[in-house]
Amino acid sequence: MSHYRLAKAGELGALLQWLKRELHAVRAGGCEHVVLVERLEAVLADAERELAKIEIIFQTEIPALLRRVDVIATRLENELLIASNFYVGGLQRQTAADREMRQILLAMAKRLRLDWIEDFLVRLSRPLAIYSMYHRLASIPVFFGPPHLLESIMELPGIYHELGHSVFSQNDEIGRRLAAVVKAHFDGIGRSIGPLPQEQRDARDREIDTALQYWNRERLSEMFCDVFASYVCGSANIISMMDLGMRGSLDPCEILLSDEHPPNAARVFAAHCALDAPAQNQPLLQLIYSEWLAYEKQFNKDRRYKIFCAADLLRRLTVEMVHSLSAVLPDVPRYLKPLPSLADALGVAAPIALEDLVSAGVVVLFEAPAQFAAWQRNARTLVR
Amino acid sequence: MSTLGFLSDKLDREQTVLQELNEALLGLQAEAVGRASDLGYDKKALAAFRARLAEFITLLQREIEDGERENGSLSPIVARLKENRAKPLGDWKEDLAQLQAALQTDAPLPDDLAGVLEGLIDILDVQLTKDFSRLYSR
Repeated sequence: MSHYRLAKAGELGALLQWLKRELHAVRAGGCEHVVLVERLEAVLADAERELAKIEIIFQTEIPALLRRVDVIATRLENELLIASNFYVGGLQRQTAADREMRQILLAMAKRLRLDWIEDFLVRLSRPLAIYSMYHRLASIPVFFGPPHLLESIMELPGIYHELGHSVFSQNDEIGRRLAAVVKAHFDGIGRSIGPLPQEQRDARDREIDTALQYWNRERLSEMFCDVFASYVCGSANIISMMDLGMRGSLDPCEILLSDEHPPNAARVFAAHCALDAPAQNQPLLQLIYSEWLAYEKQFNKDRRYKIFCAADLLRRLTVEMVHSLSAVLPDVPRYLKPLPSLADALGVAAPIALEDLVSAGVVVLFEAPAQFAAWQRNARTLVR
Repeated sequence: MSTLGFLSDKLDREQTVLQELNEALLGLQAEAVGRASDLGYDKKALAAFRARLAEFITLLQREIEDGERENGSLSPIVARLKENRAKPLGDWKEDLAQLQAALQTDAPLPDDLAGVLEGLIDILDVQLTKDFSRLYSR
């Protein structure tokens, strides 16, 4: 019998007991996240059964069965570490700001008809991110954001991008549809190639295959989240994404195989495509978007970009994303309001949805930046 | 830009597939040595394990043949099988066909075919460990 296996099982048992005690303490402390605590307790009960199974397998001392223990132990460790790092750690340290953000997110999920969301565990302690799926539990994401999140405008549309991950995780049909679009696109390119010497044809086939593999589920999900944010938040999302893309003079057309995010040029293009024509034709948006295009032109779109992120492919993907949203989640409201006038933006008052407030915020930022700080102080009190 | 959103989804899918396949193989290996009931697996459970493994093999065969993607969860296996120089893809296809046939009967799973499944599960286990380490790289 491997000493390591025995030691590992012993440590997992101790970690499990600690997690149970901590959840008990959280519950006893009057926690607001009762449903989450119950779900985590159920996960721990499953883990306890798995540990008991490991003990039985140890007693058999049959090598083939012991090898299965290694896989069980790895999985248990992963699950318990996520429970500790993301969930119990958050439950132990809820601040007033976390609780305020939780209410804003719950109202948003209700407004956007994300009906599977039961709760959010919020931690305003790091840049925007979401832990969207744990133990098949998509209904209570852990939402991360910076402490200053509600003091900003440019970062706020990122909330919708993060919620997009929950939408994508929850609805497998969307991923399947997008994978089919990618395959059809590259199959079509493969068929359209005329006669070539064998060597060139092989090289071309390899290139197409790499492009096909590039658009894996992860990259499709990132692009979907950008489009989702445009779908539910409108023009303000494009402006937020351009801000993200222009920070630090990064090459927005560079394809990095090590990065699960598509290049910013492709992301902004898709997010812009997701707007309807009236939104795209708004003078302020045209002005800002032309600034983005001018920025993008400083960089070369190399051959790889032109194949991997062909405008035709990006357009087809965006059309399918918008179509999937309206087909798979017909109740999710599309944000079609134009950007407000400066006068209306300066005069925002309660009650106002966060999407409207963000739209007003970008108008003030770009048309009256000197008044933004004062506007922001007032607007902050309207966020609900 | 965070990678947490897609990573949590990816990890959860990989964990779920790995857990289901590992338990199914455990059940059939325990059956082969007469210890299934020790682990609480009855005939119904063993039939469900065979069905789950058969479904997995079908999806894998389809992905190898047609390039269909089942939400990416089988991609690491397909990639490893295709790049494996010690064992040609044709041999893997034969093994998968034999496995599929064996899973359609109630006979205990032969050791050599259990070994094929072990190899496939190992690939998923390695992929999960790699992905998981991205959460906690230190």
